[in-house]
Amino acid sequence: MLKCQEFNITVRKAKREDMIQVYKLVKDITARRSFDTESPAFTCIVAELSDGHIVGYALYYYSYSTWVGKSILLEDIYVQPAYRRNGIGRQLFMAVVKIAHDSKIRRMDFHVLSWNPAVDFYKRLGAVNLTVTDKWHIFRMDHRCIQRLFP
Amino acid sequence: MSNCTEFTTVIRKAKKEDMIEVYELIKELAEFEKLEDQVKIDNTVLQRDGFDTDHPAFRCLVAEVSDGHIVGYALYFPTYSTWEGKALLLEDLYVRSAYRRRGIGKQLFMAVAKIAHESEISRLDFHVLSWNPAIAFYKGLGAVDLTVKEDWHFFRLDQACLKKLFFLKNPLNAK
Repeated sequence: MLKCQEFNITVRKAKREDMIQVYKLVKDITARRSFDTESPAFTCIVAELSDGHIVGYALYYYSYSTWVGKSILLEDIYVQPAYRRNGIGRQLFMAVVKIAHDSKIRRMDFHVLSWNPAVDFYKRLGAVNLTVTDKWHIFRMDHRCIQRLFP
Repeated sequence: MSNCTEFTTVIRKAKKEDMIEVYELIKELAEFEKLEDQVKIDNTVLQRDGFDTDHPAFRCLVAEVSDGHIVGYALYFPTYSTWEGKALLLEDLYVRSAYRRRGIGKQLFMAVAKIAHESEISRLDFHVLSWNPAIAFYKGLGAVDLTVKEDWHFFRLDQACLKKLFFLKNPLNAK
C-alpha cells in the first residue's frame, strides 16, 4: 500500500466489495469479471480516503506483445474532480508502474484522448505518443459491427 | 477449421510447435512495419507464454497450406472495457507476401471475429499503422478508426522508461 501524505489517501488493490463504489465511478458491472474467477479479466487499484470512501481508481489487464512478451494495458485511470491536484492520479499511475516493474513487465500501454490535459502528465513521465511518432491508429469493431458479419 | 478452396488453406488453432514458424512471420511483420529491431523475444518465449501455462497470455490462429507450412497467423488476447465488459485485442494479423490476395487474411480475421461473436465479446480492437493498405480491408468490414473519429491516441512506456520511473524519487521529472 502507498500513502499519499498530502491528502491522507491510501492506494491499494481493490477488494470485491469495492466494486460497488468503483461502479459508480465507471457505470458498469465489474465485480463479477475480476473476483469470481480464477483468471481475472482485470485488476483494479483504488485510492481510498481515511473514511473508506473511494475517490479514484486505476484498472489494468495483462496484454501481449509479439515483440517483447507480457505487457500491461492500463484501461482506465480516474480521480473524482474534487480530489484532483493532490497527486492521487500520480500515486495510482505509479502503483501500476510498480506492479509492472515487480512482474518484469517490459511495456505499459494506454489510450488517451489527444485533447486530455493529462497528456502532459504522461509525457513528463516519459510516455511516448505512438500515434504521433509512428502513426499507430486504434481501430474498433463494436458488438453490432461484429454481429453484422454473421447474419 | 475452414477451407479456402482456391488454395487449400486451413485456418486452425496454433499448436505449441507452430511457434517456431510463427516467430519467423512475426519478424517478417515487424520488418514490414519498419520496426524489426524492436523484436526482443524468441519462439521459446511464445511457447512458454502461450502454451506452457494454465493461463495462456495469448491465443493464436494459423493459416496452413497443404504442404504443412504456416503462411499466416492471427494473435489475440482478452481485454476488458469498463463500459462494455469482455473484449478482444487483435495484436497481429499477417500473411506472407507470396500468399496474399487469396483471401487468407480475411479468413484469419473472420475466424477471430467469429470467436468474438460466439463468446459474446463486446468489442474487437486492433492497432494499425495509418499508411498500411490493409486499412481499406478493415474499414470494408465495418471497423472504425477511433484515432480519426474520436482523437484517441496510443501511448507507451517501454521497459527502459518503466525502470527509470521505478527508481526515480520524483517521477514527474523522468524526461
